[in-house]
Amino acid sequence: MIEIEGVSFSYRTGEEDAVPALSELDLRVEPGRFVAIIGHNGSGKSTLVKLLTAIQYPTGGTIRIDGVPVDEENQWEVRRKVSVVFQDPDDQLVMNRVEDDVAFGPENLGLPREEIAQRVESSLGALGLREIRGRLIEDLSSGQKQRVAIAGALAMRPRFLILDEPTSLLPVPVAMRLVATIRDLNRRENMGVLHVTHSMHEASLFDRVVVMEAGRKILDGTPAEVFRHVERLRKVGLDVPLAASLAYRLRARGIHLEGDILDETDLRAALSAVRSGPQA
Amino acid sequence: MLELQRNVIFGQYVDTGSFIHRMDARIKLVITFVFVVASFLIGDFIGFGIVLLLLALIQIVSRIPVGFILRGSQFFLAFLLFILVFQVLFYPGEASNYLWRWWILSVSTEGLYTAGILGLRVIFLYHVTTMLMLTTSLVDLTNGLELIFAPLQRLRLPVNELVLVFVIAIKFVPIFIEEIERLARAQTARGVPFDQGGAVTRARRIGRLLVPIFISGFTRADTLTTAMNTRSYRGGRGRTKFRLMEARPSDWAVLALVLAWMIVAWLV
Repeated sequence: MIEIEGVSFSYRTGEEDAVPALSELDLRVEPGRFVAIIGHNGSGKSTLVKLLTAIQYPTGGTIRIDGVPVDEENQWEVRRKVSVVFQDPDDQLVMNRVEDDVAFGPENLGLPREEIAQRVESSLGALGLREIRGRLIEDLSSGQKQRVAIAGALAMRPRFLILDEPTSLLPVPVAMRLVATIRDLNRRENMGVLHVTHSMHEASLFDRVVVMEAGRKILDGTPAEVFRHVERLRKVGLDVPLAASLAYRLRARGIHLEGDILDETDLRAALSAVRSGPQA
Repeated sequence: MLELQRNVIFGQYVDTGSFIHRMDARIKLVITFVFVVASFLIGDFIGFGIVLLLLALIQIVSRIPVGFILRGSQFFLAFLLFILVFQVLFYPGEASNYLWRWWILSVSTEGLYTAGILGLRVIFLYHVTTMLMLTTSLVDLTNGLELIFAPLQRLRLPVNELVLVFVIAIKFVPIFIEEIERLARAQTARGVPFDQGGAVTRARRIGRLLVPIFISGFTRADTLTTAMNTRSYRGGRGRTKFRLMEARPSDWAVLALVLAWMIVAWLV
């Protein structure tokens, strides 16, 4: 369980031009959930990642992960519970061969060799990297590198996996496949996932969507609930996926559509129900 | 500049899966050390002739084509030739042995002999270290170094950390080359001609790429540090190793063979 209570953070505290990056944020994430955190640049979402991984500490309020307070004293324990994958894999991968990099984290934990070997094996398998385990990382595509980074995070067996815009440098189909893989992992391993993104498109795949703006949480709910606030989202510069936005406008014109509409399939089903409705 | 990687072979790894590739990296490092010592002890052409046979044998067993090494060593060989020519011309020999003489330049049999031995010695060292790197992956190499120098850890020398610094430095080479290429292309697109002008002008243009590269280097180092911290890295202490190193009997046999061979080459 991640418990964030009244957390504030500002860079350059004490100076006159200190900017609050987060103000009085409350957020609880149960274990095993699949949560998207969406916001624009400067919404505070990246700061949130830094606080959750003990890179920075809150200037006010408390964060607890599985009951352990995130502070300087507990930083190494926190990092065993939370793994993070950053935007650019070149900044994250340390070793130069695939399996050696996946082993880097478990090696740091001082695990016995057999345990490391087993974790490397299962992480490589989970991301479909077994065939390229011996390859040099510099020879891989950016999508493959990002998979290696995720495998490395997974080998830590974290309670929560935090993804800090790992898909923003990838082509859309590759990004979507990656999110699907992560979803699969989340279900199988019961590992909580916090996916930080500015892409509304990916957000529809999640259990829960948290929208941030100027260091505050402005919307929080299932994708369907959040997408209903089309105007509000547009005001903070976020676009609702086309199908959801179209459904919103049809409803505004008095056309009755059944159910939650997140994507094309939902919309098509609802529209054909409308068409066949009056005739029946 | 942009073809840096193709023309310099030193430091590359080529996996042919040969017997030498599969040898224990520590044994290979010790063998390389034996070669280095031998190259200074051996001082005549017969000795180097015997060494040459062993180098040829290593070359064949490694299954790395000779042409590949020669192509990748052009810069090195040209440089070596340049040095040797100077060595010969300025060698202060005895008057009776001069073959040719002009002003302060001369060619003497002694000069040729010394330059020949020096050349062989350098080529020998170059070939052995190049073969070590061509046949040993970076991780094995660094793990081998780490294990060999592990006793120094007791003297409070941070061996683990130094080795990791080395690994990371090597890792960043292709990343920086890519970045330099990108910056060069971006400037070319804005009309900077990198392939025109005199040497000084060209050097100055390339110099302009250095500042952005330095800045990006610092940013990357900072991000990587953070990433390593989040991956629970807290220094070499308490780390365990995923990769197992095991010297097989055949590895020890190779070491014994090389030692014997070098002693023969030294004594004849």
